[in-house]
Amino acid sequence: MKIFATFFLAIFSFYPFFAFSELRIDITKGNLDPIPIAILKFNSSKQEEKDLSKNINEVIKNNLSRSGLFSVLPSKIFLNNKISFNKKPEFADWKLTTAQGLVHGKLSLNGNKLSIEFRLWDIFSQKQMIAQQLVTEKNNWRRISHVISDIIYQRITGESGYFDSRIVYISESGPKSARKKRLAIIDQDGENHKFLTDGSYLALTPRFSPAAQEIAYLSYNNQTPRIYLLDLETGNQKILGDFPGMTFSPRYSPDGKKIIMSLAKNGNTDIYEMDLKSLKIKRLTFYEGIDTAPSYSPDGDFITFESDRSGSQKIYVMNLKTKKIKRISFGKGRYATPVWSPRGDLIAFTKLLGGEFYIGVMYTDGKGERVVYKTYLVEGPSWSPNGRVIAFYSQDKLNGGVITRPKIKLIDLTGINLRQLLTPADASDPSWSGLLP
Amino acid sequence: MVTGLFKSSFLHLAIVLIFLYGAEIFKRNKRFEIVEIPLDIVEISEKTVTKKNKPKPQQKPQKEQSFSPPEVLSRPKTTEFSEKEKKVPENKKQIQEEKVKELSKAESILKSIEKIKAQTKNNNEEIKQKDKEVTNEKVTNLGEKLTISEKDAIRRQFYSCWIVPAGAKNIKDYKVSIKLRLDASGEVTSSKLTNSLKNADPFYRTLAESAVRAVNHPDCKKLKVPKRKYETWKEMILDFDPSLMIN
Repeated sequence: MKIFATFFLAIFSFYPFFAFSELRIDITKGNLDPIPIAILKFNSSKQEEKDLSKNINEVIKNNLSRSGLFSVLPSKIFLNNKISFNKKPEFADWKLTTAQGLVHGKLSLNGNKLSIEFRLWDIFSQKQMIAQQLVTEKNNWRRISHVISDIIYQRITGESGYFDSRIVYISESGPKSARKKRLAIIDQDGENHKFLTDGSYLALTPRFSPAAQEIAYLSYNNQTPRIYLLDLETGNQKILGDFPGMTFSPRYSPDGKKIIMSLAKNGNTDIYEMDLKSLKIKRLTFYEGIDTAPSYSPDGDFITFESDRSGSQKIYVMNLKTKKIKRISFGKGRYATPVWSPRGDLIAFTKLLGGEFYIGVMYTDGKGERVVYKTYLVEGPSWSPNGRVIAFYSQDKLNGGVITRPKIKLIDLTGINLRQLLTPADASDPSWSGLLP
Repeated sequence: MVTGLFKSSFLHLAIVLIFLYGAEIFKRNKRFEIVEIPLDIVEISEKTVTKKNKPKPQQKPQKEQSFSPPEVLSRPKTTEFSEKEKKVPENKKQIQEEKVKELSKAESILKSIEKIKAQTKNNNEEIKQKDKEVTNEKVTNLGEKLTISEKDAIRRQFYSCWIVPAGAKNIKDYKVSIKLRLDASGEVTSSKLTNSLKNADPFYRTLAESAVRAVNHPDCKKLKVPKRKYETWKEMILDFDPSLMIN
């Protein structure tokens, strides 16, 4: 027994020596370059398959490069543009292209059935990252391209994608005195544009339900704000009710069962919650001033809203269980339209300071505030389904004092990657859907 | 007493064997078991696809040359250079220039492939030689530390190799450690994450994979290390910490 004890004592007494003898170097700085990725056309045999493969390849490449996180390499520099689906790529050759990821696969058409099998490789680690088979109808090729883009994005970045999603917005046309505002919908990549209302009546501030393909929007019935619910699958539309004193459309709860809104009664604007099944309305704030623009947290336990209770427009967070309210914005300027990220970690907002509008983000406790975009006018931030990109509309002031037309822009959280959503007319009030079911 | 001793040593030997071999077997390729469809890996011969492709671009200009220009009965003697220039009309010249560019690109890539292959062939010999050099130098002072500037040189090398997944949720809260083994030339011979990726948070996994890619990046495969301190850096742990980069 004594021998064993001495033995173990000896081992453990030497352990610290071994532990401290290791050389450790901390790497605290890297670069923020996009990840170089090679995306090959999926192997196919018939001409129709080849055409589809080319189109799908284009959509995937555009999606990933537009995200700002990937640098899609031109096929000109590839030594081999075709890899047999069941063969391992020649990693040494692919390393020369600087690609860190490689996507290849095969595509086949059987009547109307489109089948795609693809693989994603980590070139430097020489490992397969994911391999999947997807089957759909031929006409659905654009959606399958978005789904594949989402899978690649998720596997490499660790968070879900946002490519298989849509944006509903207000399309504006005509002179100021007779402005036509129509509800319209568009894929996040600017394709499949469709008008949802004919413009015979005004449509404002649409909101996508996160749980269903349903949109709530505001219109007017004899000067009284009226909320409509539009089912995108069936095209059916119903009136939720007339809401005097409403300025923004309500926002849905994460489960889509409730909506939250601000209503002005007797000159006092407060926040109310409505159960969509029972249509019962519950008042949440009781302040003699303006509490408005509420938005749910993704778990539904909190809301964020703007209020002037501290003397100027600031952002607040309310715990719906305890009803405790906490101010989270303390910077200079007027903060407005806070929107909780679907990822749960950030709140996006607009801010007016020094005659300029800002789009910014902050953590839900108010820390880490940073500006991602600023210009003459920015309004209506709306998060992508993965909480990585913010859609908003803006107008710029040019050198001669000319104000540009309202357009929807998409900006990455880092504030580096800014894109404009191409719409057929002026565009405002974007609302991003969740990932399509 | 003897039986007990025998049993005890057998048990200890079994535990040691499990730690030496078993753990590696159990961990093997666990990271990428997401495969939804079977993967048939066909063994590839020494000949790479690039070799097959090599003659292809060379054939193209030959086809161009096969066009027979009108025969010239007499022409003044000129230098080869100017003659060539005169021969080619503007359009053809541009096309040829583009092809030459493409060719030169392809050739340069092919050359670098060959270079890499040649390097890998000679690698073992080089390593052996360098090992000899190191042992001959006899300055392998155990415990001799790297200076701050020597450590900084390694850090600087990774700045260009490590693409930080900025914007990923809570990424600043994570730190990834990779244990490296290096040969005497400073080349990374093996790398291993100190924490398992099994059941890891997807954002941790993203950070870990970005760090692994950095370690396997061709520009960071060979580290700039002082050769005389081989004993100090032949094994090292790199801690990838993005917190200072991200607010």
